[in-house]
Amino acid sequence: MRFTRGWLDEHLATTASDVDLQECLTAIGLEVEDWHDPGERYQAFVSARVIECRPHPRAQRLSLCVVRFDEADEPVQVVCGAPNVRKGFVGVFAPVGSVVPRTGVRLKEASLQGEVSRGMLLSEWELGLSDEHEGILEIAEERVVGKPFAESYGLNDPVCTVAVTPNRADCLGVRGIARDLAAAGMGALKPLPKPSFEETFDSPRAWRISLPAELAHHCPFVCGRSFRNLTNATAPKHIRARLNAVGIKSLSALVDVTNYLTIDLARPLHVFDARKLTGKALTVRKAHVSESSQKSPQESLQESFAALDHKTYALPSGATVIADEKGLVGMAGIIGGEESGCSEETQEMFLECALFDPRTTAATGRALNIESEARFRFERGLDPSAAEEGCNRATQLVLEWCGGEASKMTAAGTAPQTQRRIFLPKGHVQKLGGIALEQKSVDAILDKLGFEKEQGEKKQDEKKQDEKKQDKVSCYVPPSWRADVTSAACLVEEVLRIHGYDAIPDAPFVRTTTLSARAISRTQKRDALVRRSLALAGLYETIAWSFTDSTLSDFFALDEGLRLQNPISAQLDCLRSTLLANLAATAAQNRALGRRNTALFEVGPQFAYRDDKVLQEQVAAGLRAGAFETRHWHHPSRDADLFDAKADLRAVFAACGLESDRLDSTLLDSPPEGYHPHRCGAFRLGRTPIGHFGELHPALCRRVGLRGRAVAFEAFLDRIPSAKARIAPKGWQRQKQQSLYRDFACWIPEGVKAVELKHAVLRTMRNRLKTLIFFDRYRSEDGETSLAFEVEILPHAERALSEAEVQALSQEIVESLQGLGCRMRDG
Amino acid sequence: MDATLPAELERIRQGIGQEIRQKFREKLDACAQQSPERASLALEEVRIDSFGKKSALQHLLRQLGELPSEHRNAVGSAVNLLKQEMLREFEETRARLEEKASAQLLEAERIDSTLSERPRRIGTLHPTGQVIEEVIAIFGDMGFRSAEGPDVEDDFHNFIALNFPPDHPARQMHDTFYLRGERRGSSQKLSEESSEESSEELSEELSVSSEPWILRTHTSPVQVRTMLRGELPIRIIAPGRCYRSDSDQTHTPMFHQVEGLVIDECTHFGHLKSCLSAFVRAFFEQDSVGVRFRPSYFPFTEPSAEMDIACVRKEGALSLVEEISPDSEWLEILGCGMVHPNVLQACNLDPEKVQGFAFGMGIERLAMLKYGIADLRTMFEGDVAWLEHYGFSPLDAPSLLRGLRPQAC
Repeated sequence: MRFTRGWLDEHLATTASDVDLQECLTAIGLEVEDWHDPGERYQAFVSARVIECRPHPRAQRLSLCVVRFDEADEPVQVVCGAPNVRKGFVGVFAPVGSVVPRTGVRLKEASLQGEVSRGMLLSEWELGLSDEHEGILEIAEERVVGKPFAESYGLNDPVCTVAVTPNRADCLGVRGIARDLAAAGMGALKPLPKPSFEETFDSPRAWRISLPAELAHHCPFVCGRSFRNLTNATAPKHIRARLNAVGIKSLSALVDVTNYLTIDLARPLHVFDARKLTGKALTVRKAHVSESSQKSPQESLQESFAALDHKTYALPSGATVIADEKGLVGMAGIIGGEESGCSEETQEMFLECALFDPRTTAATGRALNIESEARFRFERGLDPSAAEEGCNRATQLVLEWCGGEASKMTAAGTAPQTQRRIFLPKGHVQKLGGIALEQKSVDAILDKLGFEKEQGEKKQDEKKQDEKKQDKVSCYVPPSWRADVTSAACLVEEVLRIHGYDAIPDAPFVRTTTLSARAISRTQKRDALVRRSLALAGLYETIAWSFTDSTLSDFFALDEGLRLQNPISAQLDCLRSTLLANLAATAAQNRALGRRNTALFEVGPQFAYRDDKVLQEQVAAGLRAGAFETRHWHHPSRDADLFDAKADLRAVFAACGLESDRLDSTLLDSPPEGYHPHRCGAFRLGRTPIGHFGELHPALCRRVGLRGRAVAFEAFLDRIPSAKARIAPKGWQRQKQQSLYRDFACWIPEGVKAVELKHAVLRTMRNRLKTLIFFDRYRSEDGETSLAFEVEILPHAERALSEAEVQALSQEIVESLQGLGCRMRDG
Repeated sequence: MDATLPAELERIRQGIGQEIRQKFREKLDACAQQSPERASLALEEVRIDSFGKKSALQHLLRQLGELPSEHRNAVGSAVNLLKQEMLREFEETRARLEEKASAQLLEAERIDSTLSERPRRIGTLHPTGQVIEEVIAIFGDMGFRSAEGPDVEDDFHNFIALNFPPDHPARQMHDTFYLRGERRGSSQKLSEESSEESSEELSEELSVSSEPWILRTHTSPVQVRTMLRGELPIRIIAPGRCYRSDSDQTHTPMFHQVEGLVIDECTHFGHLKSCLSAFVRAFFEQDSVGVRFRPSYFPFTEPSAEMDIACVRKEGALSLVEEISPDSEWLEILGCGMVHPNVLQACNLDPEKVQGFAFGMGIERLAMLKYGIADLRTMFEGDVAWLEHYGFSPLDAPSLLRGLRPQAC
């Protein structure tokens, strides 16, 4: 919402400074976003008279002018190319050294075809006032000569922009803002003069509302007047200056009337050129949607409408429209029609002042993507009882600015009654707001905001009335322009914000227990530990979008339900069902930037869609690309491989409190999505996969532009059972005897997995086995694979294992390996 | 004889002693010339030669018996003295040679320690997560517990229960993402829903027809979920991801918020002010920060406010100040207010009996202000160089007791 200081002063009698007003506006909830004096950039310019004007001797189109703006100063010679310059002309003079607002050019003394020019006479375009470029700006009044241009042209009025919250429809008018300021002690609200004019004839055109009963609220009331013998020239200069200052292009006087009242009183209106209307009535109705059409909904025959913005719109069903006998002439509350609009030739006019439903106005406006000052106000809700008054104020302005005659009012429907009572229990301001205010202060604030306190007894809620009698409850009737005030809490807000939030004393906010309890949930604690473990393992935490690119569904199955209806871009068009895709893309960007160490992880949600429901689960995923160990004088570099990813995954399990020593990875029936089909694995608890790891599928890497190989892991945190809380671990027993270590090496048959060897050994040794580590893997020239491993053999509790026992155990291990088809290697 | 013998003996003794000692020293010197490995063998030979049974010294000692008894002691002690001196010299030489040998050995093991060590890498934690933990640490100390809710919500939890009726203009400020997937009508009662912490599934509420699932536009639905559980009093904070269809320099389609909710019988606006002022002081670790509460509007609070902090910007860096001055400016930091009666009602609470406040703030904004991050978008880019610069050590666990800021004393 933008207005000028001068405009505000029309409604507010105040001596407050600009700074006071700014501070007060923000303090009462009308945040000042900008306050500037547009005259500042015109400071160097004065109004000056051309005292001599003759053609340039060597250039046809140029004139040599002598300009004088001060009797004391020497006249100045200016070379001017404008066709309208002449002797006696009063224009805007820009001296050498000043900056032309539109072009930003600093003027220097120049010589044009041999004649010196010490300054410039400016056009509206050059001044940044309009696109008028034909001639230079002429100032009609003689008496302004020598005065600063900004002052003489009404441009010295500071412009204020405030952010109006969606609940304050009333503050989308200057008067509403003035009322709030007055309530907050910034002066007095001036009474609005009562409109007075003569109605000289009966309106030849009537308003009609033709809405189905159930949609009657879409336009409960519309009124207007006919006008004749008008001269649609221009509005007064100061009005045009104000409109320009707030960013509305001043057009003809009739259009300016509607724009002025839109800003002044938050009362949008529309003016029709009556001669361009057909029939004796204008009707408010719903847009027709042809049902006979066989075509798809998008192509169904909709009413189309050529609007004032020179565009043609196909009206969505449900739109409220205004029509004459021939067709549509307006889109209710949004924009008028091109054909029926007023122009300079307009002599007869028909005025519209209506109440339209905020919801349908908003829906239609959104559907057609039309932003207008009218729509902005209609969809926030107008003062329902001010329609007639708006019509009368517009009538007065039209007669003042354009002459002519006004008819009697024509109206249809009835303005809805909005009177309602709100009860404010005594002490409620203190109970909710934490500040003790006297009843008379509360009443004074609400009174200035237009609330009426009900004194007399009326039969309403009897209990409340009883309380009121005992002076426990006050009853207020909000003004018609405050539809947002609906409850006692709203009244408290009104009182507090006008009295000032600063005045509310801080009340100690203490916890209710001596010590603070544990604040984070089990899952948050788990996630924190996982994040810390992975960072300690050398990975960097990232936060990626929860969205991803649906075209990656070649690699990751995509549930249709996860697609966005309104994605922000094609790369972010669905909720992600994996963290890998974003990690891979992020890694690719890092590699492209030349970052060598690309070890990343994220802990965040992934989604699935099943049975009309969205499932969300927390996942820790990481990716390593490039060297795990970089080149060093002691050893060559080593790229991260899937066993690094597997170690990362185990670190996550450990952070989750899962003892995974005894948990071995397996191969799934089908490889997990996104991984190299033959270089991946999974961990399962029962049948549930709790983690995947492996090399990323090279095709996926290529797709996201990730050069070289990368390894990754995913841990499905919510599937891992929570670690049992334990106060202290079980008692610790010192192992009195030392473990024994034995090495085994064997050739394994094709297809036998290392983990099968481990399980065979485990079956043999049972609880005698502490650890089993594969320490060598060798492939012979024949393609045979040999594995060597070390086992740690636990002793008896009280004595060491005898040589015979170890011999027997070794023999059993050998036999179990042979059972798998393994051949022991010599030694 | 009596008078001359001792003198004679002395002469002999000294002569032999000199001779023995001379030879001994020559042998020791010869050892020292040897290489370190040989030297120890040579030394052993010297020891046997000089002190063994066949040594000249032993021979001399054996001859003592032939001397007249009155001289035996004097000569004997003289010879013993000689032996001891030789032993001392021997040990000294041995020690010197061993030391030399060992020094040579160490010398041979010389390594250039100025070469680089083997790198050990530690990653960093993202500032967003760190700030969430800082916020939890502060509010946790004020008795708040952390609560969570799903990222994908329905219209009821995200809007209706929070007093955003359909087509409400405030909805336009929330550019909502809609899924293609639709939730079908089901009529499970609100109060029956169970929303456990780790529940994967979204709960179901009253609904007549199907409606698209939406991505929550704020963390406020967690307020609704908490209140519907019906356990009072309530003090929760809810950090999490939020989504709005908005993307420019200062907006990202996904961001993080932290929501706060206090419900009991008596908490009022004065409590809200002191709670949030205390938070700002603790978070920015300044004893005094200029704050301002400005009336604003949110559909789910009444009265509503926005909180500003006073700060000075110098060369892009931001510092908080106690009082506003011409150099300083107000910076919006969070939105808050007393919970709207309609919201309490929608959550089956009686606004006549209970009241409280709610607040919400952007985590990224907090992180940017506190840690001087200039560009919001970089927080989602995952550039390792950026993460190294702005990330936190995994050992920095925020705590009020130890000070929030890493390495702060």
